[in-house]
Amino acid sequence: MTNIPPFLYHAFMAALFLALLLSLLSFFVVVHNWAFLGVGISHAAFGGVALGFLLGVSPDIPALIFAVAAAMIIGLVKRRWGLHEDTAIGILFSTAMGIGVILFSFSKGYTSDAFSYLFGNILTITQGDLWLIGGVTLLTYLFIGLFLKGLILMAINEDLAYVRGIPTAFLYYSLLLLLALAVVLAIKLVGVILVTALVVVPASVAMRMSTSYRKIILISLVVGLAVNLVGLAVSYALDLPPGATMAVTAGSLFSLSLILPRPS
Amino acid sequence: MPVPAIELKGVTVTLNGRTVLDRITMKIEQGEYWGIIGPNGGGKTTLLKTILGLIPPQKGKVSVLGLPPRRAVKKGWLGYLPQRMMGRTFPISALEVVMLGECQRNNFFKPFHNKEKEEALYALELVGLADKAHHPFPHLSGGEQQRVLIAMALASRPRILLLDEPNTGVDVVAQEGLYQVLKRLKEELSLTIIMVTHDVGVISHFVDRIACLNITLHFSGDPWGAMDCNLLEKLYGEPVEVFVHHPQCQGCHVLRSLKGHDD
Repeated sequence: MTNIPPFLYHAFMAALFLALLLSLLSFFVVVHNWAFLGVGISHAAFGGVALGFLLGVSPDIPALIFAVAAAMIIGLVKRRWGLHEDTAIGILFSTAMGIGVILFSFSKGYTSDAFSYLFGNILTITQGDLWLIGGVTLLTYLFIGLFLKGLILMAINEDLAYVRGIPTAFLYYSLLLLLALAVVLAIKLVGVILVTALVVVPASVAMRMSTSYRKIILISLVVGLAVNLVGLAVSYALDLPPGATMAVTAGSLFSLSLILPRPS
Repeated sequence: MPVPAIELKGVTVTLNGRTVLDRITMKIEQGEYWGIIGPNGGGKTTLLKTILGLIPPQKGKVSVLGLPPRRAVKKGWLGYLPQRMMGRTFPISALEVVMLGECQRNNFFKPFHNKEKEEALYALELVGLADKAHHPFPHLSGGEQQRVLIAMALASRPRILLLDEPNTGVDVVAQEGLYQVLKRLKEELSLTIIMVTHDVGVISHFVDRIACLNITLHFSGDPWGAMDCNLLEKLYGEPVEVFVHHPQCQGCHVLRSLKGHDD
């Protein structure tokens, strides 16, 4: 175990914590039918990445702002105007992505920089990123641990949650905010386009294995860890792009789960 | 005089520029069992949501046991069964659904305790589903799911129960079972029940009062008073023939001839 290159250590720790973070959120993404939301947030973040490059600052901060803004706008459109989230996402993500591509075309080194944000580049993960990922993971576990019953009831039916005095708007926007943070943090590992796999697959596999939400959340964590760590190991061993290998591992696991009988 | 369970004074609700409820004034006393009938789009669901404080009225005033709806909700006085429930495939057991109903009384972010489990089991017993407590909720039939959701509403120990089409997806025999369960619960727990339904003929046997709603209130009062074909024709906008289905299932009678016989 000696001489582990620092980039690999950083990648391993990021893969580990992001698995714990995204697989927990994955359950709520799947039960709320929010698969497309992860796509929307990550692509909106790409607009921010491009802006950062053009302004010559670290792209992380504008990416974060774009992603959080996208998540909040999507939430507002749903709650204030009663439109389905997907409509808002479809408009928002293509616009933000378009802005990103235009901005990138103004800056030098378009292809390589854009490529590493689109498909991930573990070499860009820093020690600071790890602290951030750890912090957001802790925050997410605290939030979901504290409000689990309210979140579950809200996922079943929001009006019922309201009648029980649960602060539904607060829980809804908090969940969106945490999802936006998690997705942005995962971009360096797997990229804008492939992050959806880590958001959608863990709980989708788990849903095929149990009918109890508690077990599904636990299985989802195991699946997420398997996807990230096996994906990273295989990519290192075979010299493949890590983000893409994780996405393929996730897809393969989901395909395998399809042969399981319906849970009872 | 005790404070009325629900009181609406001149309540008008407009949704997307369309008037859905027009100057509704009605009073529901504590311990009464009301049926609300009317055509689709007549504002029945909107009425329930206005009572719950989910939809604020443009004009008029709603009070629930003397308080504005949102404060009554915060006090946990209202139990609700929504129409067209989403989340019927949510991975959870029947018992856990019922326990979620107890959220408010027991601080919704604390874990469940044994006492809550016992109370939830009791609520399931009340609706006759104690044996299905550990079944996955998505595997239950439509009627069983409705009864679980009623048990959930009961577990919160509400003073008023609002039910939106509780008979959706329930076959005719089970429907009557459902109405009977509700009638019994009303008496045992001295609940006020307001039930929205399509089932004009059947509910008249079970409820104390009926309100006929089609944007405005066409009738409210004694259930048999509502079984007037002229009134129902005005309400639904086309000629109607009312069939009354006897609770002991001795066959259906056409109400018009029944009323003629009474006369």
